[in-house]
Amino acid sequence: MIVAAILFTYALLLCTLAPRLLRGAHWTQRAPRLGIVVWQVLGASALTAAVLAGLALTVPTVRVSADLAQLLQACVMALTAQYASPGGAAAGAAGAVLALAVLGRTAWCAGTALTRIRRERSEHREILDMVGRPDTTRGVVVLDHEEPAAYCLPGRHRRTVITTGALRTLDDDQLEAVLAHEHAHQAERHDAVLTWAQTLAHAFPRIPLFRTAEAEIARLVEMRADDVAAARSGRLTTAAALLAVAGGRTPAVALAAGGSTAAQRVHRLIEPRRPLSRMRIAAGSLTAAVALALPLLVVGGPAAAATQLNYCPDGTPSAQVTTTR
Amino acid sequence: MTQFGELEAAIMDAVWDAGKSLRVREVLERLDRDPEPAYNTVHTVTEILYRKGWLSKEKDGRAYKYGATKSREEYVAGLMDEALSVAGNRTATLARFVQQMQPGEAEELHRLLGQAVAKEASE
Repeated sequence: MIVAAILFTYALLLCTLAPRLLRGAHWTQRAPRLGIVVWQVLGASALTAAVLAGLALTVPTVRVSADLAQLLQACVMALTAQYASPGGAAAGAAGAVLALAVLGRTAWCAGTALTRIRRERSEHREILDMVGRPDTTRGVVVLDHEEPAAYCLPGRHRRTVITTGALRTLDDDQLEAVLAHEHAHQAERHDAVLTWAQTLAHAFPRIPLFRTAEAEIARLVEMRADDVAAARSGRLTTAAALLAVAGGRTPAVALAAGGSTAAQRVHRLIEPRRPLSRMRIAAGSLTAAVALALPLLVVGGPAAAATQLNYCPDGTPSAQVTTTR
Repeated sequence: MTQFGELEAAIMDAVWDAGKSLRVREVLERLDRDPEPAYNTVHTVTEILYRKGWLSKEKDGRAYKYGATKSREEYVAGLMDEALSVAGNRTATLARFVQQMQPGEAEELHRLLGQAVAKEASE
């Protein structure tokens, strides 16, 4: 019961407090890759904590023993004890509902998102292969269109697409920056990162953590790809390429206050680069690792303490694995 | 690409460039491919395109004439709509190089970029 309460509080804090503390934090712009990892870890950690909290309510903690018969008996006794009282049974049922609901909802939303994305991509690719002109020297598909634009169709049969408008607007160096940006998206599988973030935001729309994480990750993957392009073609060239592609277009809808992401990205490239120090990257990575491990430790701690380490009936390797846990 | 992918694209190009419905024989004449594909191959692929909805067909005497159901520009416009769509759920399907900017932002950034370039050149 205490374990469940701790996990539940932890998940609640992550879901409400973490996005407030971390949203728009300036260091993520200086180390976008770490920022992406931290947002992903927070989401995964909150999800794990919620599921484990439900399971901890449902399944009573049992002394883990290497003797299977003894273990089963202990399990049955503990279960009977818990479910004999009406309060215990209610808590168990609530826990099971919580765990199943979180897991089921996530799996369902991930499944529908993957199906939809696969269908949309294959439809887009089929038309693209019919109306686009392959440019084999650059490894891109050229679309006859006035508007300067560049995008990539991720996945197994990936394509990088560029319009004739963009080819006319960009000089060779800028074009190289654009292509490096798109290749970075594909090499680091940013599409999968975004799909996962969108799935969580869609599955649990009222949870601030997932909403904020989706927006922040969408922003950070672009900045990460900009960094890759800038390392290849120079920061100012990349900024100029961004401006050339974005400048001529009028937005169809109003954008969020505080400037568009595109403008933030150009600003970031124009200003002198200030990457995060190694020390702070290490500290951030460590925090992420701890956040990821915390829910497992909370559950695993009491179980490990309950393990009878000195009992080893036959010395088979599998038994040793169980006992040295 | 499917087995006939390139031939499909070439046939659609021929029909689009003609700007009218064509018989299979006429399609074959307009295909600039080496080696020249067999009449039957072109006929088969044209029928595939009809079944996929790219071509329409109408009876013309004893043969059929095939015309494009939509112009190339319409298809391109559809792709661009998807590529430039600001709807969030598109971002996982496609990754665009750039999102839109607000009016006025671009001018300000052009000015800042000009300054930065000048500063770098003077150093």
